[in-house]
Formats: sequence, C-alpha cells, structure tokens
Amino acid sequence: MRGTLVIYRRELAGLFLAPLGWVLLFLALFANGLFVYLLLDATRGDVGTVLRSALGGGTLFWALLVFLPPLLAMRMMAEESRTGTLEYLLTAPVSDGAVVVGKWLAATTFLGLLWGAVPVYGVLFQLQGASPDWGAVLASWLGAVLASGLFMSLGLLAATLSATPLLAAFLAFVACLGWLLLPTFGGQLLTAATGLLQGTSLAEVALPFLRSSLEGMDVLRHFHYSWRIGVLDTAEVAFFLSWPVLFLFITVRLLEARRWRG
Amino acid sequence: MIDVQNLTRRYGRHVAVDGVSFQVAQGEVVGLLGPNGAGKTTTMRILAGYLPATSAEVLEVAGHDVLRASLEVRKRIGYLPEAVPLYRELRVEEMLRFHGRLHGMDGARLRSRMGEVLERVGLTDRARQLVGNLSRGLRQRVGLAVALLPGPEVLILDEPTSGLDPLQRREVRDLVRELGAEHTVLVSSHILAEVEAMCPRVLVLTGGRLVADGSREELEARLGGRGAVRVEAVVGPDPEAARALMASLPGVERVELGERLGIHYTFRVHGEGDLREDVGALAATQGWALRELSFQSRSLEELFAHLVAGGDAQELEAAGAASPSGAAPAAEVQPDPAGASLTLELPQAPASSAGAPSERASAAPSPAPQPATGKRVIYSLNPFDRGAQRDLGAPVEVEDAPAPAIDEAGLTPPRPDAGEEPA
Amino acid sequence: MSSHRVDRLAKASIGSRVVLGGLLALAVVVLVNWLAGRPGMRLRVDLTSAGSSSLDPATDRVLKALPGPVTVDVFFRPEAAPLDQVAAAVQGRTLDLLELIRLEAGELVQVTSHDLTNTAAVRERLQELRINGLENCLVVSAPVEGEEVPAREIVPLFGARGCASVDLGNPDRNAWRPATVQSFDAERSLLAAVLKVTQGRRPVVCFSFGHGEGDPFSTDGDPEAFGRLETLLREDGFITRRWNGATDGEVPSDCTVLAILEPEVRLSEDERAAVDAFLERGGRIVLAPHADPGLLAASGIADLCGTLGIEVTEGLVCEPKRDPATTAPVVGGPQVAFVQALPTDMAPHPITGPYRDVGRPLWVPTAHALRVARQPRLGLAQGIVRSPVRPPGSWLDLPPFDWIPDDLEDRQQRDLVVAWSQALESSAGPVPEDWVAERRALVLGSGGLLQDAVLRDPRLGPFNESFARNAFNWVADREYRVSVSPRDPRMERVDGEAAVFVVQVALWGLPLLSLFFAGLTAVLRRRGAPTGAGADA
Repeated sequence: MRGTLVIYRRELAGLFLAPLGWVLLFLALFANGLFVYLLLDATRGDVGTVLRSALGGGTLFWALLVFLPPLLAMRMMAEESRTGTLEYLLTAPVSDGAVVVGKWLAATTFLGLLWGAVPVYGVLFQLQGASPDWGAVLASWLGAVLASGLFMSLGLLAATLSATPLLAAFLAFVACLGWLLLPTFGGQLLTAATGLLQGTSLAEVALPFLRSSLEGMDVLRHFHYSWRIGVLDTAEVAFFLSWPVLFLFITVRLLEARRWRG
Repeated sequence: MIDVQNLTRRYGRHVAVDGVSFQVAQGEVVGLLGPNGAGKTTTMRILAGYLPATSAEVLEVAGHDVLRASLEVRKRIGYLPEAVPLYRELRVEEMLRFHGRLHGMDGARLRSRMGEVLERVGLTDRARQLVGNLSRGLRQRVGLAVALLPGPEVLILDEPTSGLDPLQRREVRDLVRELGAEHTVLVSSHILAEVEAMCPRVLVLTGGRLVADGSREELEARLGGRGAVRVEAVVGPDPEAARALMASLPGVERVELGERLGIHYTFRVHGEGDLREDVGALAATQGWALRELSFQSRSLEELFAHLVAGGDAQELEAAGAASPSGAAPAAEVQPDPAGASLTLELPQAPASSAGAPSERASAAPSPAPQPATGKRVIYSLNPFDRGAQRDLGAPVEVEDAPAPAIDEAGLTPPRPDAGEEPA
Repeated sequence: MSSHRVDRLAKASIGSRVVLGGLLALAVVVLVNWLAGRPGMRLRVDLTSAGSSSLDPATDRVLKALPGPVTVDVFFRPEAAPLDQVAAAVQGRTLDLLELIRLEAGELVQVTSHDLTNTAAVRERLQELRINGLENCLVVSAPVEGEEVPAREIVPLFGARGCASVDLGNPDRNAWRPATVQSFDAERSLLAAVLKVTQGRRPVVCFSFGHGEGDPFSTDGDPEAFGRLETLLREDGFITRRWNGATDGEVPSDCTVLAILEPEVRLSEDERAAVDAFLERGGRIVLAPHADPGLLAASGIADLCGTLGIEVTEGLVCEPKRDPATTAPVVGGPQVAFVQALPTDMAPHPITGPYRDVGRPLWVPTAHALRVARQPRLGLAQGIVRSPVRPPGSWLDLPPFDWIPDDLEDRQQRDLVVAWSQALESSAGPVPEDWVAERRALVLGSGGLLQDAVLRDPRLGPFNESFARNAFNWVADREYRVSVSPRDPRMERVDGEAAVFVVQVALWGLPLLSLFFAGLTAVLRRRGAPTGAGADA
C-alpha cells in the first residue's frame, strides 16, 4: 500500500515533469474544445447534449480513450523497460503489484484530470446562465474516469508484452480498439455465422451464448445506459472495476513472470 | 550472504551463465571479473531478482531465496545496474527521496541518511540538479548513492567505475573498499586493475563459467605467477648454449629463449625467487654484455588475460605495465604444475567469430613486436570507449600513439582510443 | 534444500499456479459481473437533478405486473430540417428510456431496433404486425391468445400520444427560433400502449336489436342498416354481436360497448333496467336517436341521453328524404343541402382530431342538435362536431314546419356529436392504483352518419369510415389516464455571445493554459539546476 502510494506519486509527477504528458494534455484539450465547438453549433447550443457527448456520449471521447492509454502505457512500461528504470523499479523493495497499480492509478488520474475539462465547460455554461444538470455531469465524469481506468489497465497489460515502445503502444492500441469494437463486430460476425449454421445445435446453443457474452463485455453499451444518462449503477461500477482488476492482475503476473520464466 | 550453487541461465540456446557456484560471506568484498559477455551482468541481475535463473540448486541472497522471496531479498540489497537507470526528470534529492520512501524510510531518518550518502559520493552541492543534466560520471555516483541509501546488507554493483575518469575511479575504488566494512559487496568489472584494487577476492567469469575463485595471492600462486627474470644480452652466436647455462643455475626451473633484437637475445628465467644476482654473476663469468636484467612479477592482469583469452591478449598485454611487447603469455600455454589443483576451464576464444584476429592468434602465438606506429587491431573491453554503441566483441583498428603514460597506481593506463571519454 | 532448487519442475509449478490463478481471477470477474447484474443485487441511483433517467413509480408497478411478453419495435429514421435535431434528441432519449424499461422488466419487454434501410426485413415485420405504411414511430405489440395477429399500438415520435410534443420553431430568417421539445412524453405514451396491448381483450360491441334498429349484419344494401359499420369494426379487431333485450336478458358481461342506434320503439322496462345496470358497472355506450322526431319521441332514447345530461333538441339537421314514389321531401325541405361538417367545426378530440389535422370534412346526413345540459361529475361532456356552416335554410324545424330556417331564428351553435366521459370511482380489473378508469359514452345526433347509405357510398363513405372507427375505438378504449410525472424537455441552451465565450475558452483557453503550465513547470525545474555538461566533474 505504501509502495503503491510512493510509486503513484512519482509516476504522476513523472507525467507532468516530462513533455509527453503536457503534449497529450494539450492535444486532447484542443480536440475536446473543437468537439464542443462543433457540437454546440450542431445542436444549436444544447448544453446537456454537449456535456453528455463530451463525456462518453460522443465519438471523440472513445477515440481519445483508444489513443491516450496506449501512449501513457508505452511511457510507463515499455519506455521504462528500455531506459532500464523498470529494472530499477523491479529490483526495488516494492511488490510488482504496487508498481503496476501505482502506475495505473497515476495514468487514470491523469486521464481523470483531462476529463475534468468537461465540468469546467459546465461551469462556463453556468456562468453564461445555462445551468447544466450537475448530477448528470458528475455521473458522466465518474463514468469517464472508470472507463479510462478500464482502458488504461488494458493498455498496461498490452504494453507489458513488449519492451519496444512503439510496438508496445501499437499492441495496447489494438487491445483497446478491440475491446471497444469487438462486441459490435463480433455481433455482426455472429449474425453471419448464425445464418451459415442455421439448424445445427451449435447455432442454437453456442452462438447465442457467445452473443450474450459479447454483449456483456460491450463497454459502449455498459457506459451508454448508465453513466452517460446520469445513473450510478452498482452493476456498472462492478463492471468498470472488476475488469481493470483482472487486467492489472494479469499485468502483475506478466511482470512477475520475468522473475521466474526463462 | 550470497550463496549460489550451480546457477545456469540460458537465453534460448545461448548459455549466458553456465553452472556457476560461489559463496560470499558477510563483510567480504568480492570482484566479479570477466570480459563483456562473460555473464557478469546476467549473474548480478539474477541475484537482484530482476532476471530468473534457468536453473539453480541454491540461489540465496541475504538469507532469502531469490526466486520465491524476491521481495525479502530486494529489501536487503542495494543494486546498481550497469546502465545506472535513474529518472532523468527528477532532481538528485528527489530521486534519493523516492528510493528512500520505497524502502519505507521517512522524515528525519531519510533526510539525515540522504545527507550522509550525498556526502559520501561527493554530490552534496548537486542535490538540486536534475539527474538528466548530470554527466555520466556524476550519474554513476548518484546511482551509487541510491544503492547505498537504505544501508543494505548486500551491495551488488555492476561496473560501478565504468565511464568515470581516472580520478573518479580511484574515489569509487576507495569507496567500495570502505564499504566492505559495513556491507557485503559484489562488484563486477571487466578491468582487472579495478578488481585488483578493490577486492581481496576475485571471481573470474568467462563464457558464462567460473574459471577462477580466490584472492590475488592464491590466484598468482596457483597459476605460477611468481615472476621471471628478463635478460637481454649479447651471448655470442649460440643462444641455446647460453640458455642451457642459465637453466643449469640452482633454483632455475626453466628458461625461455625470446626473440633476437639485433645482436641481443632475450631470455626469461623462471625459478624460485629473485634470480637476478645469480644470472648477473653468470653473465659476468661468461662475459656477456648485459643490456637488461630485470625481475618481472606476473600481474594478475596477465593471468586474467591468460584465463579469459587463452593467451591471445594483445590488448591486455599492451596495457600490462612492465612487460615488453609480445612476451610471456604465449609461452605459458603449458599448464603449470602449481596450478593443477585449480579448475581451469579455458573457454573458446571470445572473438572466434571474427576471423582475422583469431587466425592470427593461432597462426602466430607469439607475434612479432609491432612497429612503433601504424595500424593494429585490438579488442577493447571497455564498453564506454567509442560511446558504448559499437559491438563490443568486434575488433577495432586504432592508430598507435606514442607510449602512454602509466597510471600512477600502476593500473591500466588509458588506451589510445580512450580519448573520447568525456573529461 | 530441494525447496530452494530452481529448475524446470519448480518453474512449471510456479507457472501452473500462476495460470490457474489467472483463470480463477477471470472466473471471479465473470461471477462478480453476473452477480452484480442480478435484479436483487443491482442498485441504480439516478444522479440527474430531475430524475430523468429513472422510471416513474407508476411505470415500475405496471412493468412488475406485466402478464406476458411485450415487444417494442423501433422504426426510427432521421427527420428533415427543422425537426432533425429535435427528432434525433427525442429518438435518443426514447431509446434510453426503452433501455431503462428493458432493465426494469427483464425479459418480458423485448426491444428491437429496425434499420429502415433494410426495407425487406422492415416490410416483413410490418406484415407480421399487419401495419401498412410507416412513420417515425414505435410499435408496441403483445401476442393475443388464439389470434395470429398480435395486439399492437403505435406510438408516433411526435404528437399528443407520441414520444414528445414539439414546438416547430420559426424558420423565418428574421425571427428565427429553433424547433424545441416542449415535453417529453415517451414514458406516458409507451406505458399507455403497453397497457393497451397487454390488458385489452378484444372489445365486444353489442348492437341492440329488435326495436326497429338497422341490421348490423345486413348485406342487402338496406340504406338504413349498419352492415358496413359492422365490417369496419370487425376489421379493426372488435367482436360484434346482436343484443336483443327481450330474448337475451342482461347485457352480456363481456360486452365492452353497447350500441343503440336509431331504435324506433321504446325499450321495455326490463331492457331499460339492463342498460342501466350495464352503465352502472362501467359499460360504454354509443347512442343515436332516430332522425325522425316522431320515432325519437317514441323510442325514449332522449330519456336515456337525459340520464347522461345530454338533451336532444327537436332541431334537425337534415338531408331531405324523399318519398321514392313522389320524390316529394318526406323529411326536410327541398332547399336543404347535404350537410358537410367542416374540419373547423370539429374539436381536437381523439375522434375528430385527425379530421382537423388533415382538413377532411365529415358527412352528416340528418341529425338532431344536441346540447350538454349537465356536465357529469368527475368527467366531461364535450361537443366534438358542432353545427356546421351550412347553406341557407338547411336548418328546419320539423314538425311543425314554419319554414323559417333555424339559423335565422337562433344563431347558437349546436352540437351534433357529444363525447361524454366520466371517471369511475372504483376501477375494474388488474389496474394500477394510479390509473383512473373511465366510463365513456358517445351520443350522435342521429345514426345517419354511420348508416350504409353513407358508408357504402363510394363518394361519401371514405370520409366517414375513419369517424366510425375512431368513435368506437375511443368509446371502447381501455386506455387509462397515466399519471406519469412530466419530464423536462432537457433543453438548457446557450446561444450567440454566450456560446462564443464558452467555445473560446474551451477551444483556446484550456489548451493554452495547459501549455502555460507546461512552460512554467519546465522553467521551475530548470531553476537552481544549472544545465549542461559544464557541470561535469
């Protein structure tokens, strides 16, 4: 626990002491600003829609969630592996779990701060006399942070697989994108498969099971009907916490494997 | 404190560490010596718990099993990796504070300890500098400070002197020697002089195998490193007769006939103790015109070169203090009776893949002296020569410079190509 | 010693433990997710200020008491400007609502979103639902036992019983105002539809018979019969029967609507008692006195209307009826034209609303003028077709013939059709407590506008068919007023200067602020930390 906190503080400081963090922050804020501008124009100034879209209701949010975590994970895992600081960390008296969780928390905090820009927009709206639904904004922000944590854990897991930063980022990107889009494409694939296997027992038992499993893993769906519409749902909290825990667990095991495999 | 039995580490089919066994007792300062690629770093990483052993019968550091109680081991060691990994964006004091916190140190204790450590490595006035802005030598010292900070039971220092200038090296050497009083220290180096200077006990590692283990004296004794008398004289037309005469002196074990230098012949007289007086007397009786009569003690360096390179050690020889060019090691191929008890497992020549030098080595075991100037091929064992970016196993061509000044401590003088090191 | 060995075996054991641990963790995660999704374990806290993301308690109760599965087919497509944004917003919110309903009702409510570009699939589904044509709507349906066609109800995107009512805004460039959602009613409309398809048996219409009424099962072209009406009702899902009080006794218990259309003789005491009992228990009724004033007086229907507080006046709107032999007018004067009720004469009522909306007239051949003498307690009697603008002399007293057009004598507007409804204090059936059951009645000035003479006329019939359907559907409607709290339209807006300010800050302010902090950090970090290799020892 102490180790986690120490690592967390250093990693967070590291993000803001190196250019990468600021560059990402600047680009993401700019993209978000552009998004708000376009959306305000398109919806003719509908405050609620703009804020909801900026926190999980729109494409940009998910695009950022697919691009940012891989870059952060690359910096935290692969780059450290390359410069040797990972060797330093892994031979320091902290458990691998503390290292991974500390890094994950730091990256998630970073993303949380980034999403914090949206409540700031809300304050701006409030100043202009159009009061947003603060409960909904809070729920969306919370959901955005949890979703960031989910993608961050996935990114860390993928980035641990490679010591080459670029490859690590790519792997993490593929993992995040896959996790985001698999349910949709998988669903279409299953539909096609159902058509092909019509009548067989496989089509009647296995495919529906697969489909429901895929649906159960659909981040968009989970986010859409809870956080986005301002609902705090315990089932969604469980979803957005349990998967990161699993991914971090696997990441820790992968790091640990460096101590015994080979 | 360190107990290793039959440690093996493979990378795929390549065996990096091959059945190494050794023990280090509390308070010992042990040097791990070997050329690059000998498995020093791998061994140290395994001991620090960063890399797994492929197999080992016992692998314990500070009383804990490295594989199964890695965290306990890590609490008790200070490990300075070869590349000195530090967070470049942190200040020196922040780096130390971070490390102290990882070790559970806090508040006043951490502050005082930080002060001590910085003082010790001489960085007190640079505490607020960014690590990334420091020169390599200074970073090395920060790394040392980090390793020392928690006061670990065992210090594992991988090449702590690499990249330092001679003055800094001496400081570090002194520091390591001092540390022996409080910690158990395992230091690695590819430079024999360093190890000789720092460590009472030396482990020689090459090709992943431990080829020698003992104190300097032990090694010298076992390898017959008792020195020889070098004679350079005009002995008339029959050097063989002169050799036989010298060999007949009491106490002389054998005499080697060296090359002819103009009208002079060179001889090496091996035997018990300093035989200069006897040889001198003989020369006087025979009327030989002596040009040189000197006693040469065999340095560990020669032994090392012998062990590591199987005699092909031009580079080390060039660095060897008093030995004239192209001399002894080649003649030493026959096993010394005194060294018979020592496990001597000579490896393949490390550069066997690089064609020319090895061919030359086998074709001309005792090469002719090099011209004073001109190009020659050497193996540089210092990774920081040429910016450490090149393939360290490959030979380089260098211009011969005028004979370099000898380090005051009688240690490795800077080689001609060492000039690129930042001063 | 062996426990300290590192070899293949030791690693395999560690490896297998790690893999096992990983699988176990995966299983735990799946289990946790499954458990957290169980209805009992799940807790949803709506953080929105208006509670717009949770269902009304009334909806919860209805969904918990659903008797069978309900399917909601979503046929949404983009709307054209100026409603595009509004439609998209309403559709999105409706889909959210459907998901909430689905979560609450579990597997009982199935929601299918149709891709309208896939015309074949959509057409197939519409065929199953027996719906022609398509608008931006939801179709709520539930299977009916023993029937091929499910009970279904259409919830349009916009409109009084739709998902939202909208203000179209002002497209004029000078006074431009965007279209906005006035109220979001999807929950109420959906719930009403769900109740209708799940609770509605097929309604039974009983035509009273044996008192000179026109035959509802006539096929022989008797102009005074109601054969076409019966066909229309049957096609619309009604079950039709005759009821003869003299032989059948009580009004059947499954009778939803009793239609007493133009009887010529008075109902017997027993029959009258049966009708009263029927009304007492919440029965619905359609009453039409005979156009002939003499027969009206003889049938005593005026009495029955009187109990509802509706007075049948003697004034008559008429198409002259001629003696087929002499062609002399039997009823009405020669100058009386066929009466056309214009859309402007109709009330925005479920029955006549569509006429107003599309601007269609309604043909009213002969009819008594009605007057609401007394409003029902807890209810409303409302004239929905009023005295039309008519050619001069179309109003006539009969008898006595004074040949003075009524409108000269009396310019008061008269009702020709009165819709009457009254809340029932105790509701019948498995109805949630918040719902109010209604008794309904429809009184027509005469049965003329439902008679085959009009409905079978190729020129006139199409105009009156909708009225006939709407009339019986409204009367038979088991719709209950849903008390669902109104939803805010969720439309806080910024515009003009305010929007520009927000955009400026969002687009330039925050990113530049981050750059500023980046620079600040860099400067602060360099301070007190001289750079460069000059610091080298």
